[in-house]
Amino acid sequence: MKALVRKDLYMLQSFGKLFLLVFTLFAVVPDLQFFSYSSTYAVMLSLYLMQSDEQCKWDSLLPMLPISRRLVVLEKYLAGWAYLALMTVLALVSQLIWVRFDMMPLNGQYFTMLCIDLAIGFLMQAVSLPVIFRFGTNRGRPVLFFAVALATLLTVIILNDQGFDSLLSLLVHIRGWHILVAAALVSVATIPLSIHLYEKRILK
Amino acid sequence: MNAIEVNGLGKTYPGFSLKNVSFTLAEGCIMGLVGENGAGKSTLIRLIMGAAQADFGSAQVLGQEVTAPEFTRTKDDIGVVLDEAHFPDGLNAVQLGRIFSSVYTRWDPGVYGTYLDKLELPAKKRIKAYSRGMRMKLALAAALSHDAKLLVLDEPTGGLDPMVRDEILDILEDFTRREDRTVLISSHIVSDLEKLCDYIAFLHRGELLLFQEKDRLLEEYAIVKLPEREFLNVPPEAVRGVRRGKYGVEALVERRLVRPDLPLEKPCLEEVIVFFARGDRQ
Repeated sequence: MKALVRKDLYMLQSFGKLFLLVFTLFAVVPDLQFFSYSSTYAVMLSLYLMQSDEQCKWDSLLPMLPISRRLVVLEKYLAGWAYLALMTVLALVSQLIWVRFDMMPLNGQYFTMLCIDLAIGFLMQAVSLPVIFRFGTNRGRPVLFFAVALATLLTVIILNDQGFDSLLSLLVHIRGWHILVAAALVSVATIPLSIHLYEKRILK
Repeated sequence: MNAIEVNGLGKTYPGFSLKNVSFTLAEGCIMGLVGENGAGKSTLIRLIMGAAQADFGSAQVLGQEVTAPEFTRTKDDIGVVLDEAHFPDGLNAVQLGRIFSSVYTRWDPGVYGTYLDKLELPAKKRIKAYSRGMRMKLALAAALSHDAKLLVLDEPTGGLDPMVRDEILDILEDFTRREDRTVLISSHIVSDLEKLCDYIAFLHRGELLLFQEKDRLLEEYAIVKLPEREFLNVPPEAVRGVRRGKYGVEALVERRLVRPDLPLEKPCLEEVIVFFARGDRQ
């Protein structure tokens, strides 16, 4: 696992700096709409790392190394989760700063939206990673784009005042963190599926 | 102990199948896997490394069944070099060394550094800027720096100039000085294998046509050049492959099955392989 994490960090250091910078900015600006882009990028990050592996054929070397297929899959999930955790911390810290300067209110609605944005990040990962592990990034990409489009649509609906109100009336008894936990659990639940589909692809 | 045991291994893809391959390679031996492009060499290597699932048959490497979950740990004793380096382009050799130090439990940074120096590989230069030869040398350095018992190389010298090929073969010779080290190397450059190998396996269109000790192979077979009429007297069961030309027939024959007075020439490994492949078409 350490080797895979190290490899991905080196890859990000080499090629992913600009992307990370942009999405860090999205996480810290005083507008949650931008954070939703940032959380969506969690799955893009996993995809980017997997695409890099395929381009240099590292994914062909991996099955020859003493690294289990389970760890290969788990590491890509962890990369996405670590990114989400980092972005959340950045968003919360920056939010406290914006509140300090009266640039943004800090209320329950903020946390609800933050949780929903994070949940979308988790759900996109849950939808996309099994498909990408099965088909590789090139063939799996259309599914990913579908997931991004769906997430964007959901975000737009939620951020629209009316849509947000109607959603709130529907979810009046459900708290934001409930949705977040449920999405995180769905993401975790797809790990065995991803392992199975990855094995199916590489052992063929 | 056997380093590799393969029993009736087979795998079918659309338009290609590897058929019923069996052989045993003892520890300390160097085996050359020869075959034309698409003969199934890489498929066989993937099966042996547990990186593909066989449709039938089985393989054991260093005493472990390759389909067993425990085989992941056995890979710690195996160094692998594929036909390309397959390393992330954006990394340099130092970063790669750090990654592999977390992959292999017996990774030796000192040995790796020595190989980088010996092979004149710039440690801080991105792999992207390496030539193909340098990439292959880097792959070899990585495969040799964790005290592997078995080295598996898939076309490591393909597309390289003779100087680099020679350098790589020298390193492999060094590696096998210790008696417990085994090498499986695939190539379609037969001359490379002739220099290095104890055993030769010839894979042709997915079938293992030959698996024999190299020296015995060269002793057992001979080239005979005869006019067409005289060639008719050569027993057909002795003939392994034939080439017909304007001036007669050139054939690979089994020495023990032909008359001793025939003008026999010692073949090189390449001739043996080519005739075996031609024989298949006769």
